[in-house]
Amino acid sequence: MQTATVENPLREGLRLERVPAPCAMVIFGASGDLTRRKLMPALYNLAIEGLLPSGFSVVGYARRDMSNETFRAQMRDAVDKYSRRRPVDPNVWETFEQGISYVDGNFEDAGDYQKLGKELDRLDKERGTSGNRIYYLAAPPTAYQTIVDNLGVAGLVCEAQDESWTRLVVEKPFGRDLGSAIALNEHLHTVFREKQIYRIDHYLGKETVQNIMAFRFANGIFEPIWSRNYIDHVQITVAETIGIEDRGGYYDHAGALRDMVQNHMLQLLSVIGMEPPINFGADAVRDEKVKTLRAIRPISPEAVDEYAVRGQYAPGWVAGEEVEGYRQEPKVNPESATETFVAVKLLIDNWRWAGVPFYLRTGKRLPRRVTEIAIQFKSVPHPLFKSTAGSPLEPNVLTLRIQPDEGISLKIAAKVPGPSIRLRSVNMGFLYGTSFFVESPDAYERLLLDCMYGESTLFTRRDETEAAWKPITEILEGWAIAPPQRIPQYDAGTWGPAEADAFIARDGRSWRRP
Amino acid sequence: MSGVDVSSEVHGRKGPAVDVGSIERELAQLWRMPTVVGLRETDIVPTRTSVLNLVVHSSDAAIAKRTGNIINELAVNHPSRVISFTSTADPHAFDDDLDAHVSTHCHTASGERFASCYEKIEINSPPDSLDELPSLIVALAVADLPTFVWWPGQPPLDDQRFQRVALAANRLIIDSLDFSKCAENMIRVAALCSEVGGQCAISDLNWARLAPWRSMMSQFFDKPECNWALRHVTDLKLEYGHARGGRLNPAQPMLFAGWLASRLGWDCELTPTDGNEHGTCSRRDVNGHVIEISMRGRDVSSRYNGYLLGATLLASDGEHQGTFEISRVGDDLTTVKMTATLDGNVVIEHAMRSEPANLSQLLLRELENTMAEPIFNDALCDAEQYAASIDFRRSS
Repeated sequence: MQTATVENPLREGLRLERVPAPCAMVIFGASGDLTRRKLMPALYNLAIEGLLPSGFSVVGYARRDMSNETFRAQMRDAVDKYSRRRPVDPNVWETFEQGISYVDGNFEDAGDYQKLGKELDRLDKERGTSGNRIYYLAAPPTAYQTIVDNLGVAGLVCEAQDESWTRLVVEKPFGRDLGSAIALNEHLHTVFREKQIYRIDHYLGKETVQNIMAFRFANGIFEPIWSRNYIDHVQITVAETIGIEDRGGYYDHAGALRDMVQNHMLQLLSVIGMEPPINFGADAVRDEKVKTLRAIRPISPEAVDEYAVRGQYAPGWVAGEEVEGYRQEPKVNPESATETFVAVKLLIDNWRWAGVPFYLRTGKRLPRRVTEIAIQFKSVPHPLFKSTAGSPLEPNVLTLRIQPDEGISLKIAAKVPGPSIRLRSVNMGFLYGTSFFVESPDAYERLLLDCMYGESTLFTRRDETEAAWKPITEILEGWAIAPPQRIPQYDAGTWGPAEADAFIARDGRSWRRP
Repeated sequence: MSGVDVSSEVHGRKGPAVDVGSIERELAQLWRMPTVVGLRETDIVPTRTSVLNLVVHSSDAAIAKRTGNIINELAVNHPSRVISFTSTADPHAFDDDLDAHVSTHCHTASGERFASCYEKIEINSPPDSLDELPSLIVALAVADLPTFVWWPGQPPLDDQRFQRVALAANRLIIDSLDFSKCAENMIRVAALCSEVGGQCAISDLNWARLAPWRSMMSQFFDKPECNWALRHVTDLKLEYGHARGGRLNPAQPMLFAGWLASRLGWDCELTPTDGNEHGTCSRRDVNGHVIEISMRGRDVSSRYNGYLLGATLLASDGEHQGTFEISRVGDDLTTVKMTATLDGNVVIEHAMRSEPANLSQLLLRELENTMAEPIFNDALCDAEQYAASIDFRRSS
């Protein structure tokens, strides 16, 4: 871990008891949307809070011919538009932009990497970045291998024995299936060691996702009941009201299963399902997560319909607004069979979770934007109140809400006051935002800072990525073998196709209406 | 932001005595009122989260009005029980049997389905209520939750009974920026801190205002090439705001200097410097080297009265010189610039936005923690030395 190593008695008791070492971050694909919408605003927000190391520098790398001044002006516009700390403070920007420069180069041209190397040398000398580098792949995935190769050839990657460090941040998608993910990882490893690779999944940077671990492992009362003995099933829902926006070209080749389930949702599953780690170190946590992913029961292609159902949104109404169907969206094949909704059932074959299904559901153009994990407990063993209850007694449900209304609620049965025994379910809630008083940082801010620290707990390790691709690839293979005559359609603004309701009803359960 | 508020008056006996049982009963009744329960008929779920008890004492109606607004802001974020005492010198204030005003407030942000609710008890108290106050705090606080007492304005630090108020709380929050006689009061706070320290944490909002300054000063010395300077400080120059006609309040520079001294192990004994150098003193570091310290007031608008405006630390080991400077810049002084220079070369230059935190932001931070803050206690003890020795009167 690279942090300030000198003894500094003034640090004691401060919110930040360490600071990252000075470094330069090279963004490949600096003219793209991710840089403008997420990366630069996040870096500026860190700067405004004084959390960046002194001498921190950003080098934008893209094909477009552009001067440093033009790039800085573009980045300032982006920050002005997308930062949560608007408007831009001219004084902060003035010093922040001193560390911003631009190198125009092709990803394929080895000579351009020499130019990049010279710029990094200059920053080492002039801004004291000490050879510490973060390479951020904000470029199209097809360019990853070329960039990595050229970085290696140009000698821009530190060796293990060097005092300085090099880190590579890789954005999703990490491949299209298990085979391509393995190939990508192997390729990355020809130049970078695993410890240098930071696969970013911004869901893990969300405070509320991190809070799941605190909830599970810092409270003694939950862990004893966190198993097949008490839990009937788990439902993980990531519902979006938006469509594919301007990502038709990408999305039509990806689909909901690759876009959401393989990464974000399986990360949530692994955090819910993992065993307690021996400590909160990066490898200890990830060891446990990957064990959970590996325990997911294999899905044979023939049985894919038992484990997954998909759908595609048709025209409809969302929040009072009439919206087009998926096939009418720009850059989408009018006969596309790409799923915009998917529900899967995963079984984790280990001691803790044997027989407990995890239902994962995600979709676009659903009626409400919500991300939540619902743990449904088993019903009481002896229905004492059955004959007198006003309505069937609902089982206890513990709901971990990621967004919005971040918090935790527990549904319990309580007696309605009165002479007869009548029960109803009530919610006992804890709202994250009402008990803590600071504004949560954006996920990218947290993750970028962690990367500067060399703290990789919230990044995905190679084996995790591959373990997550395994069940997804099995489902994809199943769908490929038996393509449906017609992908089930659902009206935009509804909770998915009727087939999804039938899918879970087969198990005697029903979807929540979060 | 929308919400539902319901309120009620609690009647008991005539006079300033308060019937605690009636207050609790009336509050319980409020939670059953149709307007609150009515939320359940909608999509919105009222959520009564118990986090803490916040006791606020306002010494007059003007302060009560100001604190009332802040509590409303705070309460959106932290549902709890608020117990508000307002001193009143009105001789007819207790002529009737009105004991208290109780209310419940539920807030919901747009698009959210959970309303956070809190309850508030407002009580008028006679000007001298230090005898009753601790017993009321204990009786009215929700059990098993931490209790914070916020005393805006000038606290009665000279009164021995104030100690009992502190002991009724887990944390007493004061603000040395409000002190009328800064130096004397700093000495009293240090004494109070040592008297109740084991049972009640004392916090000073003015210390919280210094957090960004401490962080920035620390940041210089994370850099290995600057770190040597911590052991070779020769001068510390602090500049603070003194608005024309405003009260002279050097609490921030005293606490900042106290923090540096306690962290760096400077000798406790300091020598006031005579002559024209008012607001100055000297002391020695662990190696016996003399450090000259100055704290000077600078004309500013009333917004920055008492605020630290600049901190410069000079260091020399005989061979190398270092200057580490933090200063408020710009027309509105809302940007802070930090610059480190080694042997004439600028090695760090940063600017960041640092508007003075408003009271609700500062309070929010204080409410996060019930534990004592040893770094503050050390800084306060050291600041006491400056308060006792330096003549600030003529320094601005």
